[in-house]
Amino acid sequence: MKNDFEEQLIKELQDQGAFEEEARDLMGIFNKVSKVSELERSYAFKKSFLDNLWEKEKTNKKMFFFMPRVYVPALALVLLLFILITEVVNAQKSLPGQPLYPIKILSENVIKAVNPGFRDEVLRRRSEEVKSLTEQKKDSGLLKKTIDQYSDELKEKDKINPDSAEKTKKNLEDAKENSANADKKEIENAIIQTENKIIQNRHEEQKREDSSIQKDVKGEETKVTSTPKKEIKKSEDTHREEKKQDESTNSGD
Amino acid sequence: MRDADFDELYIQFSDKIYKYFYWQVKDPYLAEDFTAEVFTRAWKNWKRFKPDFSKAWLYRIARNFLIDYFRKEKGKKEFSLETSIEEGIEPSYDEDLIEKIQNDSDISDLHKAIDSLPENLKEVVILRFIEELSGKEVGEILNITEVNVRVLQYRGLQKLKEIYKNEK
Repeated sequence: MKNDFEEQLIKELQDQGAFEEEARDLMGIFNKVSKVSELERSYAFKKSFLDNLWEKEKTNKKMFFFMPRVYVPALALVLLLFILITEVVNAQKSLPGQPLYPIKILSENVIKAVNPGFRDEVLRRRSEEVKSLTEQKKDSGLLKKTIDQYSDELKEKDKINPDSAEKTKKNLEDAKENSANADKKEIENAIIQTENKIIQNRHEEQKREDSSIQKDVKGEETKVTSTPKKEIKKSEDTHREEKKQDESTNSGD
Repeated sequence: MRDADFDELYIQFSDKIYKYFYWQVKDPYLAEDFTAEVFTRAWKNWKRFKPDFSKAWLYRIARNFLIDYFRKEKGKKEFSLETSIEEGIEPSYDEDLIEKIQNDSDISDLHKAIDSLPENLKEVVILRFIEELSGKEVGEILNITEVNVRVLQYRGLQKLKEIYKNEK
């Protein structure tokens, strides 16, 4: 085997232009390099590496089989959360009487507790539901219940966002158009309540503005009265000094 | 499951890969760490490469690994034996061989001679005369033609002869 290698190498060197003598000479260098560079680890050492590798492989495989036990509950939890979130999102489009509607109400209550400003959105949603129910000609009981919920929500609110109130009112007006005669009165009441709330809000806003203007005016007045006092005092002092000067001039005369 | 073919591969070629690393990095401990890393990588890809295994494939893993090592060493970046660590392979060394390497003056002379070679000749000399691979295999590993390997091996031997002559 080694001889074959050497023979081949001599042939290749000669092909490259080396004469026989030079080729033999270079082969001496090759033999030296080949002999010195020979490094062999013991068989026992090599076997111990392989044993170590297989041992670790077995352990890693075992770990792989144990993995699912850890991951299954986590995966189930993620899946459950995903389903829950999907249900909550879908529930937002539901109408009274539909199976997901209680989830919608529950999620609204949670958001209201965290963010009271969400009440405007809830009012708008109720008004949209009233509108949808009248469009779909749902039964009056369901409609009445939704209008009641709307009224309760409106009563609980001290201040209503003007833009949101207008949209809400518009929805109710549309609902009134679509509704049967029997339901018109209920919807009309809800519209009146909304208008009253808007008016009440405007009054309160006006009052607040008035009182703040009054405060500003008072502040200005105080400024105006206090400044002359200072000036009067100053002019009085100047007058007194002038008088003194005059008296001293007279007595000098 | 233990693979007898892989065992045979390791017994047959691990010394060659060890030598390849040793003559490149001149550190017997590092050479052993690198050998362990290459065979752990080879094992990870064994199922894919077993059907058409070639020596050149194994050397290519070793060479790519070495290129990566030199690049990181040059850039003073941290280098890690990822696969061995991942698989939990603890480092072990053949201390008898290492002692022999450290006390052999012929080995240190050959080191100096190989270090004096230009980079392109050095790699051909190691693969062709130390690893004793065929011209075709060397060409495959280095991505050069067989004719090119022959030219470089001729120059490499001439240069080594000159170095040894100057040393005397």
